[in-house]
Amino acid sequence: MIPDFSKDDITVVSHHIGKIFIAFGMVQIIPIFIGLICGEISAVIDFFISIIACFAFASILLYFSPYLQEINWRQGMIIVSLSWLLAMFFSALPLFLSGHYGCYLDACFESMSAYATTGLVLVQDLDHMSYAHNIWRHLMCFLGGQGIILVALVFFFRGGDALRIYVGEARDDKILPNSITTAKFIWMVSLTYLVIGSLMLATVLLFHKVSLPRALFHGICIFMAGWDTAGFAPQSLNIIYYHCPFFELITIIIILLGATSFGVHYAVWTGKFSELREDFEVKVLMSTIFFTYFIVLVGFSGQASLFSDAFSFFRTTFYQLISGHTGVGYNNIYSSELANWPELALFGVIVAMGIGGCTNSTAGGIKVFRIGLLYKSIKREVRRLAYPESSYIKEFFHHQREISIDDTMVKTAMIITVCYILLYLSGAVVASFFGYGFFNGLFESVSAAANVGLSVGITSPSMPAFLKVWYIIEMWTGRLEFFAIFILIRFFVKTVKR
Amino acid sequence: MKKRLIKYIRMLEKGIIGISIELIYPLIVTISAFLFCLIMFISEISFR
Repeated sequence: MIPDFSKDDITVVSHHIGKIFIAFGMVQIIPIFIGLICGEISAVIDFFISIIACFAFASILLYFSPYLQEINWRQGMIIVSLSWLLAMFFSALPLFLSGHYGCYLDACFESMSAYATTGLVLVQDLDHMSYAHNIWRHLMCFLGGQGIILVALVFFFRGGDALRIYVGEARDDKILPNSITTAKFIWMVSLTYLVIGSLMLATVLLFHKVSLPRALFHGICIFMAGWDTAGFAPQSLNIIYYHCPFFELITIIIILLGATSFGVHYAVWTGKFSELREDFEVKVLMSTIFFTYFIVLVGFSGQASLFSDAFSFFRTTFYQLISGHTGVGYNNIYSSELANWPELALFGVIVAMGIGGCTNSTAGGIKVFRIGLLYKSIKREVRRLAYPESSYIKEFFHHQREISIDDTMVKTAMIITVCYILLYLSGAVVASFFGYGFFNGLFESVSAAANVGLSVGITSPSMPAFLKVWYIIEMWTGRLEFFAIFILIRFFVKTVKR
Repeated sequence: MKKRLIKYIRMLEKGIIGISIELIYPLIVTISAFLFCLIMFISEISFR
């Protein structure tokens, strides 16, 4: 008999969510610190209220649910999916109190968009938002990209518990033998690049006569949202605000590194430099970038002369493509301009967004690894049919080591790919129902589900509430790659039935 | 102590080289994409 959910499951889940929310409350000290430096007292009060809410919630959970046992796989999955949902509700509190959101749902949409590293925004009058609230938006991107759980993992969890939670957050590569040391390594890479990337961006801004504190603030914000492929920016114009090709080039470097697997970072940082050339995922990423870019360029055939020169053509088209492919969603053109792109070019961007970046990176989407795996399995099947029946066909790929493709691997990749495609289509159907048109609806849906953030103009505070909720579900499901959510749904159904 | 310091310096050296290589690879991708775009742009302008 298959064991079903019991009261112990609820106790174990509650206990660990309580622990996560302590870490979560502690993180909000950063915006308080920024608010105090900038003299933003009302913002500081907003975050105090939020911290008190987090700690109170955590205390209640920890008081009523003592530590019982090590968590099992399904409990790990439930902890992850539920933490993400609860984090959305609690993180929306300071945002809503800032007065920049029409309703609490808009604030929830923004916090889920940040955590899922999507980058679709519903904020109003962003240019006048306080520094504390703005840094919180970007910090959420950083935490979400790293994995909310990863924050708590380093401080609050033990070996077995840590591994089960780590896997629940759609990370399957254990770079180092222990998941806590893996989490620490991921933090080390991210923080090192945080310093390098922020300084590079700030330096460019300093050359444009931006004051040092403001340059640093923008540098840090753009880095956090770029590295974690979220696509938020401190100004409403996003990257257009900076009007600087060199700044855009640096963001391309950051987002490509963000979309690269932490396994590859580990290999290169420990002296295996050839890994960058040999890794299967990096190879597939390069191929899909050029393949989808080719589609975009073909889409513009007959219209290239509309651009003043080859550079502006490249700057416009490649930035949107790479931004979509890596799941960042930074844009150096307006949404209305993007909506007027030829359909084939938009289709190229949709495909790129749908594919996404590398596994175990901060990017969303189906992931190039699965696309590569499906391609290899097709190749294997063709060879199997072409060769004599008695021959044994094996297909390998290099991903930190030589790995032979097996049927389980292909089956998992296939299931997740199909789930993503269905999720993309569902959003398009819902948007069509509200009169936005199927093609534009598909663009926006893929952007939400693959955690990209590019928009053709559908996402706005005035869009129907149901569509906002649907996009929240898409962002959440897409980020956690389905299984953790499916188990949570089953958990709720079983609990209600009982 | 000395051995540990040498080990740490070697690790740091590898790390710095690794980061430098990682910073160059997106540049190579961007330059290649630009050349690709340039070819498409020139062929587009010349044939129409």
